Amino acid sequence: MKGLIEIDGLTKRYGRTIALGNISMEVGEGEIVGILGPNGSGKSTLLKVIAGLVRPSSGRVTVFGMKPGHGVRKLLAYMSENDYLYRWMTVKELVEWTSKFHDNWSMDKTQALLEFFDIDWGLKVANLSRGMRGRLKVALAFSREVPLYLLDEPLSGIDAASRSKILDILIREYRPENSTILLSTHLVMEAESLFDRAIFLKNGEKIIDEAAENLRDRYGASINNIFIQIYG
Amino acid sequence: MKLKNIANLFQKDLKASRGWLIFVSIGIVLINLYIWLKLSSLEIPEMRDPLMLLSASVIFPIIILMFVRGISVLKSERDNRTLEYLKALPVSGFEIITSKTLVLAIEALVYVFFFIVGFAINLNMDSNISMRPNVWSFIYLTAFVWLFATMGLMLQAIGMSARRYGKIIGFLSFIAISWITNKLFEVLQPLIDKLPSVSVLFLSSETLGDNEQPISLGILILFVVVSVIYAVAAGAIIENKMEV
Repeated sequence: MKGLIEIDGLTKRYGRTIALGNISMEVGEGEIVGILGPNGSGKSTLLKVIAGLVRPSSGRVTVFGMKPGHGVRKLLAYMSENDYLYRWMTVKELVEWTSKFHDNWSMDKTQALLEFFDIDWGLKVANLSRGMRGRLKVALAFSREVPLYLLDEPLSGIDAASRSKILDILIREYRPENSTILLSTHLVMEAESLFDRAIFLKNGEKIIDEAAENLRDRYGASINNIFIQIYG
Repeated sequence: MKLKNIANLFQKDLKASRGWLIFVSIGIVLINLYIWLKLSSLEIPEMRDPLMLLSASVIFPIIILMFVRGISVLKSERDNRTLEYLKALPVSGFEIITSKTLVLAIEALVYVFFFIVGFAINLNMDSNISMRPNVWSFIYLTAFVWLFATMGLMLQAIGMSARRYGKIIGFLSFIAISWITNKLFEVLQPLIDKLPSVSVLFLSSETLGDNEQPISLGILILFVVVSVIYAVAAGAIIENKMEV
């Protein structure tokens, strides 16, 4: 397995608070990795470090053999958990404007995804419901054909219908060949069937990093039940 | 830096600034229109002076506004969380800042245009004084106003890159940078004096006669160079220090 992401001894501190403590891991091609943990466990920080939006305090991080930065961001699609879209733009303006920055953008895919998500191109982003904005963020991420997708809490804070659409159809139907997906969530039950591998974080430290099947066999329980046992 | 990226960012930033451009331009026009109407109705010539002073002093709120705009173009991106969207694009901090400084330059030019034209019209109503601004008037004053905008931009970048005490650090930086800029102007004064001058406007009055108003090109170069230094510093901070 080729190492797409290589992390060695990664620590991220915010003042005295340790957001990530001595994390080492490797992610290869074609994996769907669940980054699991409760709020404040360091999931978002880890994805931001990989995307080059946050700098490590110490340790080494390489993505596609490069230091994270705007060069790496050409090859990955990052979706934030935050409501970070330009609200004054229409969906069409946002899509067209964003696509100009990416050589690997597929407008056919955007059209198919927006149609599937029932998102009107002419609506202003501000006029979309939170669930719709969640769907739009996923559509924007998957409109690109890249080897790595970083999805930060794509399921949190949105309605069940949107979660179902995002999970059951999008990732299964639209998952590009051989692409790697890192998906952080604390809603494990809904997403666990997707994971090839699960990484559990607690207070910024990695406590479990194992193939999902092995975990289920070892604990004799679902990933969701393991999650409840650990954090419950 | 990629020109294509800057052009795309510029397109978005200019569109986001439309409201400000229209609102402030209308404001400047309305103030000048008010002064013009007052001047037209005056019967005692001595009462013109306070109104002309008011017309000239419109430049001060423009300077303050551009400083605040420099701060707000970055602050609004952070407050609306769109800075994360921007930083997740494959663009560098320098490209983000170049686009924003270009939009601020356009804003400065538009406001300065309405200010100078309004002031010249009001001043020329007096038969004793006439003022003819030329292209250099617009260029000099735009560069001067732009300097404050880029200073605001850089101070905001400094404040935002600090995780704690951002406002205090920004304020202390403001004092330090104002002092450094002032010193820089003092040190470079002999060099500025050696450079050729251009006439920025033509003034004619009964008491002073006809006058060209020359200003050294060095001052213009200094305004632009310092603004570019501020912008580059802001770009470097966004690229290397700022986290979202």
